[in-house]
Amino acid sequence: MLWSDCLKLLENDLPDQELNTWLRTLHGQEHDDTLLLLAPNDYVLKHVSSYYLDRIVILVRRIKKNDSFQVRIQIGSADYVAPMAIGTEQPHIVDPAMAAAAPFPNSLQQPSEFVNPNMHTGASLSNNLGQSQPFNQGYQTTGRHVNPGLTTAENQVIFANNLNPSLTFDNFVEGKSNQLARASAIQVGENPGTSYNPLFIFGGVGLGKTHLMHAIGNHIKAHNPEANVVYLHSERFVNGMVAALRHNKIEEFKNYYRSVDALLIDDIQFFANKTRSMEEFFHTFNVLLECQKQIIMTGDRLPREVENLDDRLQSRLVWGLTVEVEPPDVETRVAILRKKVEHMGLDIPNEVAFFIARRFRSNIRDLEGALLRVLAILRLRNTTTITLDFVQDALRDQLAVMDKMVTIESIKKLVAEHFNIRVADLDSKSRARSITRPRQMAMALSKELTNHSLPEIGEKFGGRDHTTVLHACRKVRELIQSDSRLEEAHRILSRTLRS
Amino acid sequence: MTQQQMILNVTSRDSLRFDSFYAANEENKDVLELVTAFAESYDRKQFFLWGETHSGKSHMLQACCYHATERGQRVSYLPMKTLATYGSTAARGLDSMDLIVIDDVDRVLGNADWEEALFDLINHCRTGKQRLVFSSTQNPRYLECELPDLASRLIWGETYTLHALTDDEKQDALLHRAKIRHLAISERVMDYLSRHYPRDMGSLLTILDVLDQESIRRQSKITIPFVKQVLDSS
Repeated sequence: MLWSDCLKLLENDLPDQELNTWLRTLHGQEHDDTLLLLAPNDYVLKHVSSYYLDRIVILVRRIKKNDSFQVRIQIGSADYVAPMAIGTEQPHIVDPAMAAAAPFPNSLQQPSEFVNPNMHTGASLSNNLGQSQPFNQGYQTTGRHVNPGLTTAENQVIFANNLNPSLTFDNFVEGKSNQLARASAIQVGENPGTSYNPLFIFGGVGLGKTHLMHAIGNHIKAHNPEANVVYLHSERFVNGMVAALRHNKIEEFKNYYRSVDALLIDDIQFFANKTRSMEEFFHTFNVLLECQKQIIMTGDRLPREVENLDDRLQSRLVWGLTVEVEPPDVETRVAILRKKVEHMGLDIPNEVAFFIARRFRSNIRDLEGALLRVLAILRLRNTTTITLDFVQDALRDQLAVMDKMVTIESIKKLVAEHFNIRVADLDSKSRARSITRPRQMAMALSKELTNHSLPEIGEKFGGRDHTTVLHACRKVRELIQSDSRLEEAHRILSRTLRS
Repeated sequence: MTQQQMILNVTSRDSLRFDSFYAANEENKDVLELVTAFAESYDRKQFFLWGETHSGKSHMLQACCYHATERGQRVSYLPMKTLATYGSTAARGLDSMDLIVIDDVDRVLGNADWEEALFDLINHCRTGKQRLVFSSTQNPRYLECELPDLASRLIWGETYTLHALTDDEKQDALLHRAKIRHLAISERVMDYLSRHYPRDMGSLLTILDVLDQESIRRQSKITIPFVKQVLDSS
């Protein structure tokens, strides 16, 4: 491999950081008398063109013993084209920077961009860069509707639904906190487009919303493999739309999403403030609902609580069924741990599972992170026996850090001292301004500095509702913009608690 | 010679590999083995390494990149100290990489664009087969993320701490690196260095690079007068 050989030579001259940041990220392809280097984005392309290209040309020509050998660089990645390269003689180059922001989730049929490196290297043409565009195969349309000639294998790749096949109902652990959400999700999976449409699942981070969403998609596909189910994150929808607008492909973009059988959009709170994307999603939403196609969405809060979300969209989102996923109780966390450990062919004693579940409780990712560390150290010690001593030792660092973490109690104590009131006042029913402001401040700090969910925080402040906590957070955010004394209090309290 | 003066344009002769990493204590030896095991695996998705400045995080991350490249994987290393000011587009187009290594992730937290870009990157990697490595000077639980969705994702994988070296361990580490380069430095010279120059690992390694290059250039052994001559005049 010419590029690998060239990299080996560059290793002698350049520090590891430069190699890893700029050069190992390139993909090299040799075609006749040219080395084509594909850079992941414009940023890498410009840097390599400016600082390394001349050196690369010299090395390549030395390796090839050919003074007229050419080197070209452009944005692209061959990885996206492998399936489409079937039957084609020339490589097909796709812009992965755009694929990252792909108008279509399968990211395969993007127009490639031939980037003329002369734009970045000034007048230096000594390395014969940027003359013609022999490798650019141009834009290919997407979807089975426009590619009837594709093989089944190609169609499978093109219709990549982004579903994670490992996230199913079978490995979703049911508990009190997610019972209703799971039951509704199964209903939707069994009868897409007819019951609960749209389905909106909301809750804090790392509680299994995305798992449920994938499980529905996989269930639909299991019963109807032909169903066109598309999962994507709202951020990708936005990026895709921007890319589609930039490349004049907005009609294809619209048609693509309006032709799916089930559209699964994760974390819709990221639509906030993205007016054009919200507008487009709103229309897509209406078309799909009219056609009785299933829509499933998740968010971190109720639609009406998502700030800067289009009012029409907010009202549409609650047309179907809205279900909450709450933080799992300790029994559910234990069951989740057991499921994950069993999946790996291991066993975890009850006392150990309870120990981990009691200590790592903010969300399931936290729990999973702790378990992964235990399992990695288990492999390191070459053992399969999980004991309490072993786990305490394996998690020693993390437990020590958690023991020093900020708690709601420490926040309440410090806030009460700062505002010269009693801790009990913070939990009281008093609505006097002298009490409500410190209470709101303590709630906001609890949200900022701990991993507790909004309902948990509300509970710790005299059994208040999570909406009260949300209101407090907003209020404090507003006040620190307009009230310098409150801003200073927030800054001092936050700094003291963090230290 | 001040720390400021030590930022010189010199390149280390030894490369940043797992076998050139000096793990002075049992905790760091474990971390070295765990990072190596991660680099050798294909199924472990995410790894977070944190520790004080100059505790060796970047060395480990570079070694991880090299290891993956040797196994035919495509790697992208994003040093956030450098990239923070360039904007989050630097994290675009990495969908085809096998391993993405993000050094000093704490440098970009608090920046909405960067946080959303990292959030998007993690989501994408989780859906696909890409693997992620992060580092920071702070425990990931304490990182000041604006986006709770990102904060929870940063602690999703294995998290390990790299412990800073004691002064004695730093000397041992420096001798280890000198030995790899076949560079003879006596204990007296080492004592002299530790008494007269900054003792953080970054500065010590820069001093080693300078002495190494000058001893080659001048064809001279590294003695205390040589050290004085080279370092005090640079």
